[in-house]
Amino acid sequence: MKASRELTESDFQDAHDDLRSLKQALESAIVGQEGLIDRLLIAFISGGHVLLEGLPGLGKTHLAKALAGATGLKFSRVQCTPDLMPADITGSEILIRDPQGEQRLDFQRGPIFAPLVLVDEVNRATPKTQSALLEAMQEHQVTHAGITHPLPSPFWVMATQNPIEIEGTYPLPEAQLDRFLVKLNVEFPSEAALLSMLDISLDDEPSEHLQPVLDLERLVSIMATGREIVIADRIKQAAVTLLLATHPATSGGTSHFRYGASPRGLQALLKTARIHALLQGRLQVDFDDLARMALPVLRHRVLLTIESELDGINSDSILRQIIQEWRSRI
Amino acid sequence: MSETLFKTLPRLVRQQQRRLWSAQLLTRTALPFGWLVITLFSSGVIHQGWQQLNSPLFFTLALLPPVLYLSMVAIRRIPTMAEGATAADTQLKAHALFLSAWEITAFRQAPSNTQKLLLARAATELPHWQEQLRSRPKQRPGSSLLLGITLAILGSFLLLLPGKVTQKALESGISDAANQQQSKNSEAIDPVAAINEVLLAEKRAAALQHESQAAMQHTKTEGTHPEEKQTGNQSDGQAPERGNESQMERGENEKNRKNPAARNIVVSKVGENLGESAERHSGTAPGLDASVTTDQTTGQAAPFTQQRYQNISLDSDRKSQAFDRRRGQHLTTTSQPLKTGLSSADRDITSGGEQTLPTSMTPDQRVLVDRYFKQLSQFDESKP
Repeated sequence: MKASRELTESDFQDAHDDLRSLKQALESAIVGQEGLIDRLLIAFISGGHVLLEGLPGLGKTHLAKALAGATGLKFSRVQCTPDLMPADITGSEILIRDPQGEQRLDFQRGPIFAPLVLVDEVNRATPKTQSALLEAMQEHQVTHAGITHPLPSPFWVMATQNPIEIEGTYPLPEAQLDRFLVKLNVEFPSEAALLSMLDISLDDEPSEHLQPVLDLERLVSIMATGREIVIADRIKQAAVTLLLATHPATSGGTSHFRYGASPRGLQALLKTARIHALLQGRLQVDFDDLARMALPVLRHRVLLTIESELDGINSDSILRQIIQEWRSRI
Repeated sequence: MSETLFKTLPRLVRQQQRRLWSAQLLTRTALPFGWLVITLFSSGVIHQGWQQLNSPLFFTLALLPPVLYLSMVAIRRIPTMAEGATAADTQLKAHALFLSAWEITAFRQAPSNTQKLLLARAATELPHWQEQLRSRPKQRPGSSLLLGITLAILGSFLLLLPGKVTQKALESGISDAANQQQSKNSEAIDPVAAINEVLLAEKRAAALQHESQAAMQHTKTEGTHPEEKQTGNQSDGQAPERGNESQMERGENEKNRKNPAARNIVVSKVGENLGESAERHSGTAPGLDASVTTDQTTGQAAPFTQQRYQNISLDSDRKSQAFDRRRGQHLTTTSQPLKTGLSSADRDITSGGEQTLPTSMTPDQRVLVDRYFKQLSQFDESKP
């Protein structure tokens, strides 16, 4: 394993350069979403699952395809509907006849058995199906008829959901949302970005023709390097302070949150901060890394109070305020 | 190089810790400094313009709370080394490289592979960091700070200089209390009535003197009564004591004569508290009784009679009584009641006028007294 060998300065530099290359490849396919690509890459190298939320037509599916194309990973897609069954995702046993003419039940693997899985409109699937999916995400395995089938490693799930089409959907419960490392909002591109997009994707889809810039082995190596990034105790303490600031009991003031972020959120914050530091070419995590990654990591892990929801308060705006105050105190 | 890092980084952090501590103190000086400026300046203005204040007390009042507050802040808010390292890192814009390197050196654990790489990066940056931390930009004091310092210094000067009221009092020789009393009296008494009272009092004093002289002549013609002899014997029995008292009084008087300023003090004392003065002098010395009455009258009609009795000098000697320098004659005793409600003083004056001074002394004592007053009349008051 690469992590066990002596890492040199050039190893870090190579990892940083590879990340930069991957980022440039994605930016060539998806125009006007630099911030989104950065965060997606960070979550991807951190080994976490990503929840993309945005209006239809903003390129969520293309982004997943582009990532699969740029990394050379096998990519599978699940389009969620209310009649989608768990077995449609995980797989099921079917009766087959072997060449000798004998019949037996064989487990046919579902689309979840791929390194990179795009689950489109995840909130349209029933809670039963969602639960099967999210169990696979957490355990990295599928159990069927008493037999455990491991999922490929590394394993990533990119789920998308539409924030406006609420009718006929099943919003993900908080416990399941917590399984996603980050929740990324896909913003509407700027005017300049729209014009650029027309130039490259009017008649063709560049994400489908993207050549791999990294192979799986290199990707694993970068992930291992990312785990070597130094986090000072003072930074860890600051991360804890930030997490506790989202909790109503420890925030010190009138909180808009009913529930704060979980300890898993703290782990996610530091994991993503490490890769953010690597992307910046640093060997150590900075306070700014935490500040940059706090919003995508924490936004789906907090729950607004009923009063705040009735007042139309957005959890993002409250979190931004908390992060700003936290940063000014350090 | 690593050893240099292990030595230099903690030193830089300690230096930054001290700076952070002093910066914290400075940022918290706004409130106590405001208190200091306001207290010093306002007390200085009051001291000069309205009322004389106790300067040391107000200096203490201005300085003590800020000193206590800042001492408390200085003790309770000592920054940790980690805070110092964070502050240094922020100042250097080192993106936690300084902080992480310092933590590795502070914990003195065997550094991991990545930590070694990080220390190597830190060692490269170290000279630059030292330079930056050494040449930290000096902050210029703000305009509000300069204004505050100016006001504080001005207030201190105002508080240190003698107050306006004190200067006036020293010039006129009248204390603040006397001024207040006079102003009160001048407001309360009708000046015309006061003049009438004074004139009436003078007439009555003259009538009383006439009666006294008539009584004296009557006593001389009748000779000495047996009771008088008895009284004289009793007086003989008490003579040593009285003699001692009169000797003590004479000693005091001698001192007063040698020091005219001491006699003036009597005037100011009378002016300070008339009631107390009347009580002090009532019925014991006729001369002083008269003077008390005069002073009381003076006090009541201060704006119109003050000038008239300004040159009155009082002597504690019984016979010299009050002396009007302007007229060049002694004031006479009065025993007539005044309309100002000073009945107790009047009663004392009456008894003072009728007391048996001639019979209370033996002839020898009288001779001594007469000789004494002769010497006294030869005394030149103009000489100090």
